[in-house]
Amino acid sequence: MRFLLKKLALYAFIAWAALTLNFLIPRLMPGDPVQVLIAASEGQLTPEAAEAIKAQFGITDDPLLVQYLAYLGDLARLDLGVSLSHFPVPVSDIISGAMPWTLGLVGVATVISFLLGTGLGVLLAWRRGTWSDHVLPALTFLNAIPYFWMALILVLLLAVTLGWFPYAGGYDRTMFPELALPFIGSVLYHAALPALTIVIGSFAGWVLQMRNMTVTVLGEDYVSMAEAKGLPRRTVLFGYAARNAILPSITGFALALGAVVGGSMLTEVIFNYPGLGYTLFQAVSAQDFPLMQGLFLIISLAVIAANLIADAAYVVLDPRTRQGA
Amino acid sequence: MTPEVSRRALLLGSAGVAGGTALVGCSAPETSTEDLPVRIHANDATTFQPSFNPYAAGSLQGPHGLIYETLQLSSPMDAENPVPWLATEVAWNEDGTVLTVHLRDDVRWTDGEVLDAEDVVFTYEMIRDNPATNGLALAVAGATALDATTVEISFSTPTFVQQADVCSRPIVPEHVFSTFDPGAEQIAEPMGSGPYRLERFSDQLYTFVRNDEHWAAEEFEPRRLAFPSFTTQTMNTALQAGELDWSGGFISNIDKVFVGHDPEHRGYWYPGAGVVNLTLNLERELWQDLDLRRAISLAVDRLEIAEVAYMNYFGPPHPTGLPRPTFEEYIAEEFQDLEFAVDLDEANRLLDAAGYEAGEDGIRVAPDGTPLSFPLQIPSTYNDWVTVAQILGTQLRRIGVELTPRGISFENWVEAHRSGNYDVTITTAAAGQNPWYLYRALLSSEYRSDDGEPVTANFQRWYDEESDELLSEYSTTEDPEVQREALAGLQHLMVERLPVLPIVIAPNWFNYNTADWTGFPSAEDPYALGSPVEAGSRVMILHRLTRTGS
Amino acid sequence: MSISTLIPRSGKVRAGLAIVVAFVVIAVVGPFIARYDPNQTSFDMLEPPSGRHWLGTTQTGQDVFSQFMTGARTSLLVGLVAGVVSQVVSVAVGLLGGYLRGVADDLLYILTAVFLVIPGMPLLIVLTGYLPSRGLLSIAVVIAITSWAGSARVIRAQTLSLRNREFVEAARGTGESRARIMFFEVLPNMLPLVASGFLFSVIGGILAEAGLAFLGLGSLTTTSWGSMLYFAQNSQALLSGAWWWYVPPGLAIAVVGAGLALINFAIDEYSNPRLRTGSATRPGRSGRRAAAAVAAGAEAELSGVAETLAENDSPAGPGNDETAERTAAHPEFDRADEPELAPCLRTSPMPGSPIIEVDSLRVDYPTAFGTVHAVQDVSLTLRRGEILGLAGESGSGKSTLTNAITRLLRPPAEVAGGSIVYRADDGTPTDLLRLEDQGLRALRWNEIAVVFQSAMNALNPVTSIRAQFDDVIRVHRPGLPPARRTEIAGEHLERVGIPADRIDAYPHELSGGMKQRVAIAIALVLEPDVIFMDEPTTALDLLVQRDVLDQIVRLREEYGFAIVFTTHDLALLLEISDSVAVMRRGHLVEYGPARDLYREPGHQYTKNLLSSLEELGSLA
Repeated sequence: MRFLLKKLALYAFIAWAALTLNFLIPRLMPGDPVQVLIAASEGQLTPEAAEAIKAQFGITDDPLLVQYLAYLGDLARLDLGVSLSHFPVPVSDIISGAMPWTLGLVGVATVISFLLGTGLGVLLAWRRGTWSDHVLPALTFLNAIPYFWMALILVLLLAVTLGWFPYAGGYDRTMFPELALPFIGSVLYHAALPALTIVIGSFAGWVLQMRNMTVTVLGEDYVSMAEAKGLPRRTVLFGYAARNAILPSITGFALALGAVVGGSMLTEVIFNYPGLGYTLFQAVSAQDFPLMQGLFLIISLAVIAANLIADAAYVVLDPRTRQGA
Repeated sequence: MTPEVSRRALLLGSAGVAGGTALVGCSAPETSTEDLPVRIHANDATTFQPSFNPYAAGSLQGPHGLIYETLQLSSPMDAENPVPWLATEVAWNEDGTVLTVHLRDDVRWTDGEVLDAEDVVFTYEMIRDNPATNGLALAVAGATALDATTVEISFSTPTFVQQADVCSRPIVPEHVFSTFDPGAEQIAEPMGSGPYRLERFSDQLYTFVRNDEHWAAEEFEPRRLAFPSFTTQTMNTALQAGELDWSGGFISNIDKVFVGHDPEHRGYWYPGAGVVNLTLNLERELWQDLDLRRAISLAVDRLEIAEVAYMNYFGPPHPTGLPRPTFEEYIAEEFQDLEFAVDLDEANRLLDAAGYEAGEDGIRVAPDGTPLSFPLQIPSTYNDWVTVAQILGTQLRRIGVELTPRGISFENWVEAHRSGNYDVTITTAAAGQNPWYLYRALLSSEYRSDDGEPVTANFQRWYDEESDELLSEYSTTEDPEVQREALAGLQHLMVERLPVLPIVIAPNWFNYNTADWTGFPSAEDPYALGSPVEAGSRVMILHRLTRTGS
Repeated sequence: MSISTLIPRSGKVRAGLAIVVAFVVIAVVGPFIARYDPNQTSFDMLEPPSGRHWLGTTQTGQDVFSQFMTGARTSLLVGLVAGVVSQVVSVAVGLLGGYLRGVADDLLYILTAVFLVIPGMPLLIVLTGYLPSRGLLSIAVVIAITSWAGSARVIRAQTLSLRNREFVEAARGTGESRARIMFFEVLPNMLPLVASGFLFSVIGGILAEAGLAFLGLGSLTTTSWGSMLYFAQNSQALLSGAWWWYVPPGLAIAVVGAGLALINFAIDEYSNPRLRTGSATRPGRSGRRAAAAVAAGAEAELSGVAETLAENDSPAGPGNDETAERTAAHPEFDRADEPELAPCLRTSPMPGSPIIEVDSLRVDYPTAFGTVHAVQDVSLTLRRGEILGLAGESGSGKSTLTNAITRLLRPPAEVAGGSIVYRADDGTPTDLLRLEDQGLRALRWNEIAVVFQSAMNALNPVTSIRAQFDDVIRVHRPGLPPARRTEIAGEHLERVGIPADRIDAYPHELSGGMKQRVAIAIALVLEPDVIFMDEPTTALDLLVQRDVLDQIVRLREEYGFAIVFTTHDLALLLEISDSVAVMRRGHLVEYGPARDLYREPGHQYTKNLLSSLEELGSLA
């Protein structure tokens, strides 16, 4: 398990780096968030009122190290501060409200996209040299379409023009969340189009990667040997070729989660999906720095956790990493 | 974590697992026709946070006025005639430092407690003692209850002109608000005295239901108000689909996107609620030259800006800066027919005469050698201003003045115009409850800062004794005649001396759909401002709404 | 390398180049041919495309075509700057870390990991949220900061593999400075990687800029495709049906991105020949022209192409290098004996009934330069119990020949003529080339087993030895219970000298020699009639090689199977084979009993081979 322990140490370090980056960015960048709040409120706030608000946001003139320790202390208590734009709602409340949506939508869509993409990639590799090679340029094109643009087009076609799908939100606006079939149905119905967008926008990348890997692996002797052994085609393809070709994709999957979170942010924005991505967008638009920081931190930690899980999966899938246990 | 949020998270977290077994019937509240809600878009958000404290900066729209009531209802449309509400009567002392308020005696909080003078006293003392709750900068000195329904509120300066502000503060229950810090408390379950109370909350929708115990309950026909979550983008789609009755916000191409789908019921009305100014930093010697400012003003075609950037939703600004039709009645007689005119010949003549000679590239150079070429700083997220800036650049180029639009972050723009670190920018001044607010924000030395500290108004830094005297004359009297004269003087100043160059009206965005509910204000019946974010107007409008066809 | 290799062969790459060049031209000259100032508003508001406005106008009367042309420059410029900055950083980090090793490498590795794992887009958004000016340059640099890490890791890995190669050692030996070695010796050898990383950084940069601008976080006063989409979205272009406003920029981003990715196909295929697709199956006009152009002197190169295609078994880069080295090592064989002499084929006096008969076999590889005839008119007969040695230099077609017999040829290689017949114990002939899937599978391993060149690669690295015995027994002996299967596997392991308890080991836990023995054990497990051994000992060190050879010979005596033994080591063949076949450029040049061939080589090529062996003292 030395491999995993080493990875664990690395991720612990990365998590610390993310925490520190998160602490430093707003402090090294110019500008004063409270000024923005006062400006945005458009009322004629008196200097006293401004000072009072500033105090409430915990903005101090302490030395950086003192602030840093206080910051770490707050984090240990899961205290991410108070949102500026939703003042005085705690950032942690907003994040915990948005989290399930993103985990549900982006998580499920990404897994679907990954499975679909790798499956198709294996297939295309196997059928190499036939018509299937002509699919590649089309996939390349699909892969290069900006997420948000495709989302726009899909909204226009499928939601606005044809009316097949709702165009925004996490569930029907006339409903209240409860554990009942209509509500759950509504949640799924509302997730369908954004999920479709994410899948269409990202699966082509997996296809291309998996195809290339599988083609490379198909040239390996152990695949020829499996074929020479007279094993059924399916065993050769999945037990030998895909089983090996998927290894880089597992690492890629974890890393891609970061990119997918980024890309799906735009999707969430288009669909006004109530997840972390949209919340981050709104936080940035409203210059809600505490919320921005909190979200960035949570998204980073989530991706780090996903990487750790992927590495654990890697250990299961690749015996070579278990060496020296 | 509030109970609401954790409960919601719980529900969502387990939704996928238990989905197959749970069948608890329809989750949508029954909406019979008599229960049809008024659907209001008042927050730009895709998800709501349960935050209904009227004194907290990030509160949701609605509690102010509908749950937490005010002493009077007033609207800038008719600032002279506020509607009595919690207060049956208010009266100033002679110098405008004491306001005597007589309260209704039949008001109860929804928890059954009586709303009396002590609650009013608590509210104004809170405003005095807790700066975070005093966003309007009222100079409250104290408040005393004379009896159960009479309160005296005293001020440290004459406060006549701010009566609408004073009487529009939400009155809060002492027995609740005394238990926490009122400026920093998140209130998920508001408890007020108003004609509505919070019915349900979810992160995409909250509904208010009529408070049938309220003294005026019978006068409010809508039994239910629904506030669904939409952002600017989705609101447009929702409007097109007829999913909203009442909304604020800018809609591009509104006649096609919105009105065209049901011209009989759908409409919009955008009265002015402020003015957008080309702001020249008067601390820089160059801009102190009135001829230069006048020439620039003569070169700006405000009609083109109104048409191209704002699709002619409203007309050009008035030279006095007073927004029309909101403050039309305040415009002095001599200026009533005045409009901004474009006169490039005159502009060029002025500049030639003042010694701004054109360089080889056609850009004029000031007598001191400064080329008239400046970046025009605007927040890069204000897309309408980007268009305005582009048009300004083209127009001014014709008289040899080069303004290059430069998008900067909102934060930097705020920093720049507040601390005077700019040459040219665009800023907004809100109209306020009456013209005094607008002119104070544009002209008052009250906002002067000498040490580079940021200011909150008068961004062009116009410091002028005459202006200050006129403003003070207006604010220290209740005499309409004296006020009118002071106002005329201020208008003169705006027209003759051009402290700022009004270029566009800042409108009150309001779109309505009368398919279900009628009675909204309009150009024909301008009894209030239409935007659902105006607390006073909001109550007035709901008071008037009736079911269509009944 | 001739100029013709610089012309992209693949249609995909050509299309990609055409797209990118077209857009670069637009970006360069676009702003000059744009007919209006892109920011110039007018009263022609939201007009559909017309003669006056080719792509219509925006809500504020701006000319979409002019904006599109100007936007091309912005978007490509941001992509370019982001790509350059990001590649410079990744090359610096990857090269330094990979070459210097030690603490510097550890630190850089961790730094890379941090940037790799921390999600880029949110970081990008947060950073731009704080950015004081939203100028193009700052946006591009921020994009680069968030995107360099992936490429840096790849470059580090490549540097690690290059730093111990001979040419680098040599440079170190001559006392070149570290910086010189890194940038002039190592770097040029990974240009494909850098180029590929660059292309993807550019795509990433363009997409990121568009995304940011679309969110309103870019510079809205600069016209880019992203800001066009932002304004279109905010002006409800979609709801107003103004497709001319939002379709062109989005489509352009997708097309440019696809174009760059298509070019990357060329890089991928260059550095990994296995990825070359079948577009070469139809030799096009240009293919013929190219073939004509190189006809005179490029035969060697043709065989090189065939080589890479034929020897689909070693990792790309090193494989090419080896080929070059091998060819370079025996220059005298190359052209010494033109013109071709008649092949010398002697009828084999070997006892035993024939088991495999190859008759006039021809195998072709279509390539862009024309068809390469990898195996031409080869006839052989393998008898029961015979060891047939197949010799020939790399690219001579020997692997192609055995792959054709075992039906392991990969497209685009195809059998163009001839026949291969397998004869069962009772003499029943089976036409191997016409055998359908099922029949082929039944024959495989039961009768014909294969031991691959390097056991390192022949065993599936991710499953245990047990599993690799198990699957083949289960498929061919479906009735056997699991315990019995394990037992059989164990027996065969012991037979090649490996303790049966190592059955649960994974390939990486075994030494090279053990792996080779495991491969042989697996080949034996169904007791086949023929085993094809493709250079089974080449990858082993000399002692182990000898050991394994002895084992093979012993096992052959024990089981009585025939062996086709492929190698370029003629000396070895002469020692163990009953008969020997020598191949050269697809032809069988010499075929006969080993003894005859040694005493009396009939073909000039064989003579050369033998004499060079004598000089080396290999045939004492």
